[in-house]
Amino acid sequence: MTDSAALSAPVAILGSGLCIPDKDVATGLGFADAGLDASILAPMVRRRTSTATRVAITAAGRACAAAGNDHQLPAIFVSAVGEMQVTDKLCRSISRQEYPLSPTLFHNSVHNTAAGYWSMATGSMASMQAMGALQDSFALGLLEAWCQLQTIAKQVLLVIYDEAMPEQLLPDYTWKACAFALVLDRDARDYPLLHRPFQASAATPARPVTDFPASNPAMAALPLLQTLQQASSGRQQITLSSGTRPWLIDMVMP
Amino acid sequence: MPLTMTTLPPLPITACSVFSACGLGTQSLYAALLDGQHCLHPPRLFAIDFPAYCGEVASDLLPKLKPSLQEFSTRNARIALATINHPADGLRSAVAQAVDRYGAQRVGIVLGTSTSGIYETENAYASLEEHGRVPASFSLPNQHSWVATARFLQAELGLEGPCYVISTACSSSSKSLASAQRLITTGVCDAVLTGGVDSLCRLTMHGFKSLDIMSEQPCTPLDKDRKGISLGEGAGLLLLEKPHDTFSHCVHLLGCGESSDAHHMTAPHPEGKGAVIAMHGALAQAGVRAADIDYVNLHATGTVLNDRAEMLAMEQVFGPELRCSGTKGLTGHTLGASGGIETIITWLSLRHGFRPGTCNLKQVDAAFHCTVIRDSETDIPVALTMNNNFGFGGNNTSVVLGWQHD
Repeated sequence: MTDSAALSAPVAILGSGLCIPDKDVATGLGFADAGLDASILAPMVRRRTSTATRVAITAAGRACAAAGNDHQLPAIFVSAVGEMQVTDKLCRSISRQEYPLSPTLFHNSVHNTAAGYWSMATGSMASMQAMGALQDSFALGLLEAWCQLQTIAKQVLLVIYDEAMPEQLLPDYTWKACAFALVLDRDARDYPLLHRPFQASAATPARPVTDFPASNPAMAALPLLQTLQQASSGRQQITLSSGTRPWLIDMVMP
Repeated sequence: MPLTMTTLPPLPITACSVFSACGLGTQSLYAALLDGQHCLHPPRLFAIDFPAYCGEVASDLLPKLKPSLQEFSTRNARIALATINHPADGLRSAVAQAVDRYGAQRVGIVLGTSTSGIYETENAYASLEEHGRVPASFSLPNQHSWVATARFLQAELGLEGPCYVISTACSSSSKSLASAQRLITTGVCDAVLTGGVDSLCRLTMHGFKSLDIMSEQPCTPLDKDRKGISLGEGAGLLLLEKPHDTFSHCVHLLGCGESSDAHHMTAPHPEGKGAVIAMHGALAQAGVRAADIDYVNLHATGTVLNDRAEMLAMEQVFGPELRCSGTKGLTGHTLGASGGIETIITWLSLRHGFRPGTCNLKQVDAAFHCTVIRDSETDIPVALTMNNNFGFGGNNTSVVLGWQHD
């Protein structure tokens, strides 16, 4: 096995980015300039892609710009539900038997739509991950990123995003679209450092989820992003998910 | 920025099981591979208004979920449950032993799926259209969300380690193997249940039809007259564990390679450039040479473009001698489960010393320069295999399995 000291090593945050298109929400959270900027996508692609894909790609671009890298790094796109608005349109067509389906909507309904367009827009031929874990999405995205950095990559881009839910399907869930992104590096040290995410020791065994998260699961990234912004030095423990066995992470600010 | 292409330690596959149109269990799949007769029929699960074949699992083999986990009930979850429960493969008991050995918190689950429970979402929308509301039984988090089937298995099996789903279209469950491998290699988990599950639904059936790549007849991958895909469904689930002497007799996961085409959402890179990177990556991680690979299970979907690009990539990596085949003529294209099911086909190749043939193949496309196997080859030594899976978004994965040698 690989050296165990290396396997507990922290990783560095080289840059971060976010996108919250709703100005009131962004301002309320203390973020300026959080609007959509998916100009990296070709105009026709931009018109045809969902809000989910565009917020993800906006945040990804901002994190890479902040980190000063050239986009040629493995990326991990994490979302609880993914292309829900596209899926909604397709399911509506199916329920009305309106065939043929739109081929563009069909290929834009896969969970790796954002990852695929990011790779095409940047020319990156590195690994593109698309994953989900409901309310644990951010925590397990960070864990996946940490594992990739210990084994196959020197740097990774992590993006967490979700969009609004279809009103007629889920009228009570007023999620606002948002995305948060981090560029993480295995070796850099003069930056904020993240240790391996861990789960609070089990008070109760794992259980099925009974409630859909009331707020967008991508918002789980907010405490970490806000701590980054505050820039006060020292070690802090940050909660990454809610529930009976929350995921936590230790962050060390330089 | 270059990837670090180091070898990773081999990890034993301590148990696996599979469910497809060929039947339940690895023995049924092995028998079907030897037999070489396709298991495709016009869809029975729902009606369609165009000619197509698909590989449906036998619905009478789908168990009901226990009452306490009923909210997870989907075709996807029931396919997964049938697979985990198949006694002859012993996957469920192997997971239970891993929980005893390491503790529930040390056993993770990383599944691949491209459909999750979308078949039930479609049914919910039918109700929404007709009655103006979704049925009370419909649960977006527990049926539709990406992680739903993995969460079901986690609860069913009493696992408490990390639980997530990879969904990168047709490479989903090969990528889940790579994530599972990393969770163990880094010491986060001691065992991970991985692979994937996918179920037939109207969205994929009509979706691929809209792209005009559905074959009207049972699909004929690699044939000069191939005319597109036939869909399938099923599960291929594997238990990976940390290395131990007790498992030296097991087939091992040796390497995974992952890449992107950066080219097109649905069409492969015309020269298979991304596929070449994935195959080289898997070989490098396994620490083996292309010349050492005894058999490659191709992605071979049966579309003109996919098969051509893959074979161009194969030629670049392996040259003409390499013996390969495609098995989607047998099972149909099981999309997010294909990585799990076809990795298990390479596992069977290693275990039984055989190379599966290419079901429905009449005449190999003359443009292909690797050796395509038409009829299964038996009684041969197989030490190293590769499985390829390529998905929408130009998402490529290759997985190398083999026997572990000192």
